[in-house]
Amino acid sequence: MRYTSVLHSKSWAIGFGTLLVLSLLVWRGLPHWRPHVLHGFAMQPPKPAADFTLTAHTGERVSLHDFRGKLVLLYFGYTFCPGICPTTLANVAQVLHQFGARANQVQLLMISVDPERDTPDKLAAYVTHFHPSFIGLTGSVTDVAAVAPLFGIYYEKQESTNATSYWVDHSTTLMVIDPQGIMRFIIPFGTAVQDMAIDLASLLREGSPK
Amino acid sequence: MFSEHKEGVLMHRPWFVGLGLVLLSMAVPYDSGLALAEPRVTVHEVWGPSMPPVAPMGAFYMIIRNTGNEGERLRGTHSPACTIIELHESYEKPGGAMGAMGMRPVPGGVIDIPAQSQVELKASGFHLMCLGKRLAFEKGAQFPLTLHFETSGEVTVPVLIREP
Repeated sequence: MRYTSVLHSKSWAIGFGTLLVLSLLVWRGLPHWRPHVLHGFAMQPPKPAADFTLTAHTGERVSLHDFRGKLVLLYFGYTFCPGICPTTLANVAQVLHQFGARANQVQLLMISVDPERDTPDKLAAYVTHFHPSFIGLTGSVTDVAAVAPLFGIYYEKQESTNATSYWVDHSTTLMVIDPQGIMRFIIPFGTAVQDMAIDLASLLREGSPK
Repeated sequence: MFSEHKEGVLMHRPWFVGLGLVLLSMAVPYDSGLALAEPRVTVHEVWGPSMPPVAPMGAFYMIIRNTGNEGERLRGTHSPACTIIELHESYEKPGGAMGAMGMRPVPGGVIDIPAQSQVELKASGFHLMCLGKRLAFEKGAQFPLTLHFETSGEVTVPVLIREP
């Protein structure tokens, strides 16, 4: 009688232990097994991002392929932009703060859609205000006009009611290029910081060995 | 005889008069004044995104609520922080590339705040454009902003500069 009850409790312990180990495995593995659902819009099919060369805010000529190995966030904006650009840049900066040490695997590039007013010096002061790692790119009017269509970016000068200035209407999406230089998805304006962070973290995880 | 009878009814049923008075008072909305339809405007969550000193522009966002029974209109604003403030609107460019947005002065030059509703001023919609910043839009800064309403007149509120 006593012998069977011992056996009974032993099998219970084994069963419970197995269950514990299994649930731990499922819990740990879940983020890797479950396919990530993007908040942004995936490029179908993913294609290599077109290469280009422009002048960085440091004055040196840089090309997109120089950033191979990093996750590149490509944005088109300008320093006179009152609302959309500062919001987007501040949101990306918040994501990078959340990423901590992994932030150095991400490179934001802002190409000016207003190269006439955005000198490298102005761009430097503008983009680094949001995050020290951000890089502003500019060039001649024709240089920028040649790069924008490679990414389906629209921009157009708009006369302002104030005679001294003009606006530039422009595409507001953030393009995400993986460390292999493949255009993976775009993040529309208005995406919450947390959703942006989840999308980018998922891409970073995919790129590095698990 | 008839008038005597009517008088008798009222005399013997004072509750009838009371009920009449109660019904009459219910027909007039409480706290509105009899024929005084008016807007009742409050302004909430007034803020502006922090901006690099090199950026010449700034923006202000808020929620304008009208709990009154008459529509109100925002006609203009001013602040010591800006040379000029314009009422602007961001809008999606029709037929353009995905995510293409344009900006224009608000058509008609006013922002309508209909009765019993609220309007949110935000980057992707109506907003106040600060042209020619006179003060630094750095995180934590605060300055007054005066809104000119058509009926309610001037309303001055503090703007808080913060991260978006």
